[in-house]
Amino acid sequence: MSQYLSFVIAGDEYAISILRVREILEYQTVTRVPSTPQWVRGVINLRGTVIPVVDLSAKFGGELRPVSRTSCIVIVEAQHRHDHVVIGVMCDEVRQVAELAEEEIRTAPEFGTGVPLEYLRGVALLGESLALVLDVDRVLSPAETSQVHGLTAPAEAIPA
Amino acid sequence: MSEQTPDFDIEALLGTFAAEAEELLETMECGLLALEMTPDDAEVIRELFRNAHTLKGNASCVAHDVLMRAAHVFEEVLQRLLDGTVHADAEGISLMLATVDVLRAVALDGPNRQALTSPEAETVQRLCTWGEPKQPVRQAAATPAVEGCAAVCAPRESVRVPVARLDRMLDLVGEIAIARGRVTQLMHHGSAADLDEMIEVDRQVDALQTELQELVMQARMVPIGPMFRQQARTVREVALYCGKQARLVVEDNGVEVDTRVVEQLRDVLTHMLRNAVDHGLEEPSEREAAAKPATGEVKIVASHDGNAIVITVSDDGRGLDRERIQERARELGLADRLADEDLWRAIFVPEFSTADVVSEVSGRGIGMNVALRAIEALRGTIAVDTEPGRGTSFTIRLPLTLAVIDGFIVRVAEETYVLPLESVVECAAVPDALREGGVGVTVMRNETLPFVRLRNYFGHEGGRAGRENVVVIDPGKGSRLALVVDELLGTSQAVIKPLGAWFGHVPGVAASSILGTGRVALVIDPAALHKQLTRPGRAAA
Repeated sequence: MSQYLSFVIAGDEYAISILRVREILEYQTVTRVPSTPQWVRGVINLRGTVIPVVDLSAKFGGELRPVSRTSCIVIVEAQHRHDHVVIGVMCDEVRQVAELAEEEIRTAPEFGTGVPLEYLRGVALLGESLALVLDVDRVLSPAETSQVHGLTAPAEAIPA
Repeated sequence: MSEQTPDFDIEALLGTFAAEAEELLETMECGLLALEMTPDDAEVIRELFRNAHTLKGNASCVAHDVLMRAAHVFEEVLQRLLDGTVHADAEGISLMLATVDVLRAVALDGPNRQALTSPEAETVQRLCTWGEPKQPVRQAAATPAVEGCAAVCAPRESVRVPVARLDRMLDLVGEIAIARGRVTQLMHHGSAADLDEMIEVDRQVDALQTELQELVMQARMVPIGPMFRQQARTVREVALYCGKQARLVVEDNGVEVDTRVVEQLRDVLTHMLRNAVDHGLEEPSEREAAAKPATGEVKIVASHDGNAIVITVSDDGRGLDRERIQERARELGLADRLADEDLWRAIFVPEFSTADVVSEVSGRGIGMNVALRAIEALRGTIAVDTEPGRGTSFTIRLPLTLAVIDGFIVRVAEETYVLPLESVVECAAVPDALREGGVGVTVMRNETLPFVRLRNYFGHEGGRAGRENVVVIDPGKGSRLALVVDELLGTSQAVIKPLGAWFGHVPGVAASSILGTGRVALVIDPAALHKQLTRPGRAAA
């Protein structure tokens, strides 16, 4: 049995292992970083460390979430290459902490969840609602772009 | 029954033990590599013995039995080397180096370690066996230590600081306290007439604080030489594994860098050296056929250049194969967009490897990309130079001051940006001739300057701002350019926070910085900005 934190984005409930959650913050103004995908909302200052904040619903193809009274940033630790990365996940509200056994996480259906399959560890029933259990490392990996100047289509920096 | 509370801090003791153990083991590694060069040098063996003995003693102080026993075995072997009953051959050196790794792993775990693991015990056993006084002298083939060329290495958590430097820091802290005391007094009991004195004292505090800040940052600087020399082990092991002969030449020129930078560069250099030996250097027979010495040379050089640290990693091997790179680039769908000088940069793309065989050491194409990301995370750049048949060299440039820069703050839309003050030439009123658009050309003081409207460059919405200002910057390499911003917010010291490898390379942005308000501002990279805007194929608006 392990504990999972669940939160809601755009009406869908998601769950991640609580071992990956560092803290939960109130939403704060984010500094946008240019030339990053829409779903990277930007960066915030967390006690002297600069941390990226992502919008998962935008990453899954939806709209950018509006900021509401209950919007939070869940600070999560993910594995990026050989390092730990700390990333903030924006959510509309934090729902619950629930215990889940491994067997309770069932294989996610191939479609219908609105979330690409590779980002999910599975689905599970948390109380009455179906939560999508996220694979933290996969879902929070950055957009794969070649890091070398000139080797990918140059970002049109000047839309003049 | 009274409980005896320990009257010392066990955590602190273990911390000191770990740091000293690491230092001893590093010294021993260097000693072993030196011993390989001069196997009969009694002084080198004696020093190794002393280190092993000290390590054993330290281990007993913290009741680390497993380490004590392992260190003792090592000591005995070293004793036999001293006696001359055993001779240090390649096999022996490899075994001793592997044992150093074992000692390191054991020391890292602390006194709670109950026993050696199977592979560790095996290594120690093999060392024992090798260390038995032998007749006749064994002609064993070298057993390369293949299990991970990079040994378990704890990142350095402490540095040595000269006491004189600490004394000066303490003095400054005291002087600042006195000055602030004066300010407090004036504030509470002073009158309007004391304003001048307050301003003067504030200025003094500023100067004192700047000096203190510099001293604190300098305290973090450590020589990069020792880390370079430790790479000799990597070179040795990769060479053994690949069946090549290589030696490492180090020229550190006394260059010092921030202690964190040393740690981050360690892996970068290891990757690059592995590549150099595995791919760059030819086999001894091929080298001799080409009238080169059979032993290839891999060189690391550190130097200063203005405000940057320059590190060069070079080899005298076969050079990069232009044809193969072009071919591979084409396969990956990259070639069409590459200008000549960019072709070499293709090797930094993940999955790019022209190696026919994926070897244990390299060839998966991942190493160089990791190196590039690490360098970019340090706000550095890397350049490649190669000559077929003669060799290849990589030049890494890193900015010297990582932590704090003097910044010029500007506002564009709702965001704040920081420009490195050293690159700012002047601020000016918007010239009459300034047009709309993201880029263009304008005339200021009879000088024709290209301009960039940061609002457009960084993708902010909304049209042209009501009021604008111009900052002329000198990007270092290349001509000046004018940045059009909304508002000028003055100078300030900016604490630099790298955006991190997760973001990769963001065009025009060097790093982030935290403002006095607590919000994050992006630090503009003038040279990168200039480079991106002047890439071939980009039409001037």
